Amino acid sequence: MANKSDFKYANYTKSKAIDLAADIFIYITVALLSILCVLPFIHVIAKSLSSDAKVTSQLVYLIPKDFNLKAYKSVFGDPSMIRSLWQTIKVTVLFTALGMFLTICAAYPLTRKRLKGRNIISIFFIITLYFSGGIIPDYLLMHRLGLLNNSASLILPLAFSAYNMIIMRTSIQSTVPDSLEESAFLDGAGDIRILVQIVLPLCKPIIATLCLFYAVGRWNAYQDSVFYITRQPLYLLQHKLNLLIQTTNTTLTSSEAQPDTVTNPEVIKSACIIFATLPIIITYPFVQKYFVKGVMIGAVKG
Amino acid sequence: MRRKSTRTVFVILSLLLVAVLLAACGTDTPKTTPGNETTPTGAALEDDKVFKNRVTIQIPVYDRGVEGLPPVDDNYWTRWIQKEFGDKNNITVEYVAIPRSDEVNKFNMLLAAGDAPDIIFHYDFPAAVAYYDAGAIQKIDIDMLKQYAPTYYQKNVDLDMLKYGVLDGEQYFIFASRPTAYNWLTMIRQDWLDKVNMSMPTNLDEYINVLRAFRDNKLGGPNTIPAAHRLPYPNGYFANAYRPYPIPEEELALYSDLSVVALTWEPVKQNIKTDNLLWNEGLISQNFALDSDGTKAKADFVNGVAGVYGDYLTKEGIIDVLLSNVPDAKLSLLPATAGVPKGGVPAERAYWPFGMIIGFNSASSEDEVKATMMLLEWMIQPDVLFTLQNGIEGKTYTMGEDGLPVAIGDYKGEERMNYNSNKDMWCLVIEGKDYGSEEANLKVQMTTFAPDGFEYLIKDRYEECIANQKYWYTDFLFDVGIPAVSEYKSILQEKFQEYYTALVMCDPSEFDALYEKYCKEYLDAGFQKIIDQKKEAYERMKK
Repeated sequence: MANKSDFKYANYTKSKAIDLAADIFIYITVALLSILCVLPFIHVIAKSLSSDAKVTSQLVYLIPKDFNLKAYKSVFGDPSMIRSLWQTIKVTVLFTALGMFLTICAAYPLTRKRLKGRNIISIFFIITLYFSGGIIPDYLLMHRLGLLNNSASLILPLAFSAYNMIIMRTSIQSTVPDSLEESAFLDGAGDIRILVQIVLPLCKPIIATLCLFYAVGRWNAYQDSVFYITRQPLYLLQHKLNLLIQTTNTTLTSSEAQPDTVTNPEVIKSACIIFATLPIIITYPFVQKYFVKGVMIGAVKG
Repeated sequence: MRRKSTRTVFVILSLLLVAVLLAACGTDTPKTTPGNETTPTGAALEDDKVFKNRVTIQIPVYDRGVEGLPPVDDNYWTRWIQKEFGDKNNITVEYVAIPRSDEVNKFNMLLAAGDAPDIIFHYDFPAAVAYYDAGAIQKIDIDMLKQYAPTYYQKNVDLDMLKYGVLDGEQYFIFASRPTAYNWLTMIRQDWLDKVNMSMPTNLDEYINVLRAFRDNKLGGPNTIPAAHRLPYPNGYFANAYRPYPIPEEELALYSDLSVVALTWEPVKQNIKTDNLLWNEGLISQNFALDSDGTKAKADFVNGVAGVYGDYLTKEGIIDVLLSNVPDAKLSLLPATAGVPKGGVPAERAYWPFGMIIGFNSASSEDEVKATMMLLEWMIQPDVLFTLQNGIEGKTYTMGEDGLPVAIGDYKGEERMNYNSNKDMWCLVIEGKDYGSEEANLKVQMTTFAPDGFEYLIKDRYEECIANQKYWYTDFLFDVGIPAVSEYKSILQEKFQEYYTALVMCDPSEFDALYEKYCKEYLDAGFQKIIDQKKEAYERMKK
C-alpha cells in the first residue's frame, strides 16, 4: 500500500512540475505577444507627446521627450477633425444598429427547421462571401443610386455581413435548443415574442461580440469613404487619417515642385492616430462583461 | 431524394449566375454623359464673354489631408474665386477634392461614372497620356483657346510648351509653366571638413577620401556615418553623373524614364558599383535598406552622426533640429561635381519647362470648356495670381521694402491660405511663385526655403545650377503612350529596390556575376518589353 501511495505522490509532483513549466511557458508567451501588440501603440503615444525636433532625430522610443501637448491642442482645435469624429460616430452607430438588425433577422429564421428552403437561402448568403462586383461596378452602382457624397453609401452596402450571420446562426443553434422554443410555443408565445424575449436575451454574448465586430470594422474602414465621398464635411476620421499619412510619400516621386513647408509633421500624425483610435478602444471594456456571462445556466430543466 | 434536391439547387444557382452575367454584359452602358447635366449648351454670348445661362464648371483640387486647414473644396479662397471670377461671368466654380495619394484611381472612378471634373490633370507626362489613351481627354480647339484664354495661350507659346501636348497630330494638353526652384541640395558638415583639414571635394575620388577621413576620425561619435544614405526611390535612380555626355538620343529615349529604373544600362551599373564600394568601406549608412522613407538618414544627419545629407531644404525640420542637437554645426553645399567620376560631367535630370499637364474632360460641353478656359485666363493675370499666392496684405503677408511679399506664417484668421500658399489652386497656371525676375525669385526662395543664417545654401545652389545647366537635359518625350511601362512598372520598381540592396551589400568580387543574373531577371520581368515598345515608338517618330 505504502508503495502504491508513494508512486502516486511521485506521479503527482511530477505532473505538478510539468504543469508549472507549462504555465510559465504559456505566461511568458502570452506576455511577449501582448507586449508586441502594446509597444507600437506606446511608441505612437510617446511620439505624439514629444517635440518635433526630438521625433525628427528619432530619439523618442517609449517615453516622451520634451513633453508637450501642442499636437493635441492643434488636433482638438481643428474643427474638421471634430466634425469627422462626429461623422464617424454617427455612421458607426447607425451601421452597427442596422447590421445587427439584419443579421438577427437573417440568422434566427435560418436556425429553425420549420423554415422551408433554408439551405438555398444560406447558399445565397454564402455566395456573397466568395464573389463581389469589384470596385468600379460598386462605384457605378452607388452613382446610379445617387448615393455618392451621401453617408448612406457608407452604411448600406456593408451593413449585412454573411460572415457575421453565420457566426450568429451557429451560436443560436448551439445555445438555444429546440426544446426551449417548443416550450415557449406551448405557453402561447408567437415567433416575434420567442425571438425578442427568449432567444435574444440568451444570445447577449454573441450579440455583444458581433456589435463589436461591426463597429470596429466600420470604424477602421476608409476605402469606401475615399471612393464615394468627395465633400470634406462628410469625411470619416480614418479617411482623413489615410490622406494625412499617405500624402507625404507621393509628392517626392512625381514632378511636383516641393512645398516650402513640412506637410504633416510626425508629431501631428501620431496625435491624429491616437485621436482616431482611442474612441473605439474605449468601447471594449463596456462590451467585455458580456463575453463572460454564463446566461444559459438553468435554462432547460430535466 | 436528398441528392436530387441538391442537384436541383445547383442547376438553379448556375442558371441564375449565367443570367446575372449575361445581364451584366448586355447592359447598355450609356455613353459617358457630361459631368454637369444641368449645364445648358450654346449659351455663350460672344461679345462680352458672359454666359446667358449659368454654367457650372468642376475643377479638381488635390486633397492632402493637411491637419488644421479648412476643406480644400470649400474655404475662403474657393469662395473668393467664385465671387471675383464666377459671379462676374455667370459661372459656378465647383471644386472636386482628389486625394493626392490615390489620384489616378479617383479620376478613373469619376470618369467611369461620368462624374469627372472638366479638367483632368496630372504632374507626370506618362500618366497624363494614359488618360488620353483611355479616351478621357478631348481635343483642344486652339482658336477657342486663343479667344478665351489669350494670355494663357501666349505663355504656352512663349515657353514653347504647346508642342508637348500634341498627340497623334492633335493638341490634347496645355500646360502650366514652371519657374525653377533651387531647394534640392546636398549638405556637408563644413566643421568636419575643417577638423580633418581638407578642402571641399570637387570630384568623386576626392569625395571618397573626405568620407574616409570622416570615418577614420569618428567625427560623429562611435557610430559615425560619413554620408547618410537611404533606399533609393523605386523609380528614382538616374545615374546622371555616369551617363555619357552628350548622350545619344536613342539611349536617352530607351533608358531615361521617370517611372522605371534602367537597371541594365551601363551608367546605372557603374553608379551601383560605386555605391557598393562606399558601402563595403563603411562610408554610407550600413542599414540603408531598412530606410525606405529617408527618416533614418535624416535622423542620423540632424543628430550629428552623419556628415553628408541630401534633401529638399525646408525652413523647419532639418537645420534647426541639427542646431538644437549640435549647436556649433556648420554647413556647406556639397558641389554636384563631388559625385562625378573621372571624365563625367555634373549632369542632372532637368524638369520639363512645364508644371501641371492639363487636359479637358472629353465629356465636357463646349460651354464648360470655354468657362474653364476663362478661369485659366483670369487666374494667370498677375494681380489675381499674386493675391492667390500671397493672400491679403496685412493679414497673410506684409510688403517688404524691396517690393517683395513676406508671408505671415502664423495667421489663423478666416482669410488664411490653404496648404503651401494655395498652390493646389494656382498650380493650373504655374508651378511656383514667380516675381518677374531671377533675382527676385532667388531672393524669395532664399527666405522661404532656408532657415535664418543659412540662406547662402540656396544661393550657392542657384549659382551651381546656373553654371551646370548646360549639362542638364530632360527625358525623351514620346508622342504616344508606352503601355508596357504602366503594365510592368510596379513589379519592376519592387524588383529594383530588392536587386539594388543585394548589389550594394554584396562582396565586390561577386558584383559582376550578381549583376548579370539580376539583369536577366529584370529583362524577363518586363523591362525587355518596355525597351522593345520604346524602340518601336522611337523609330516610328524618327521616320
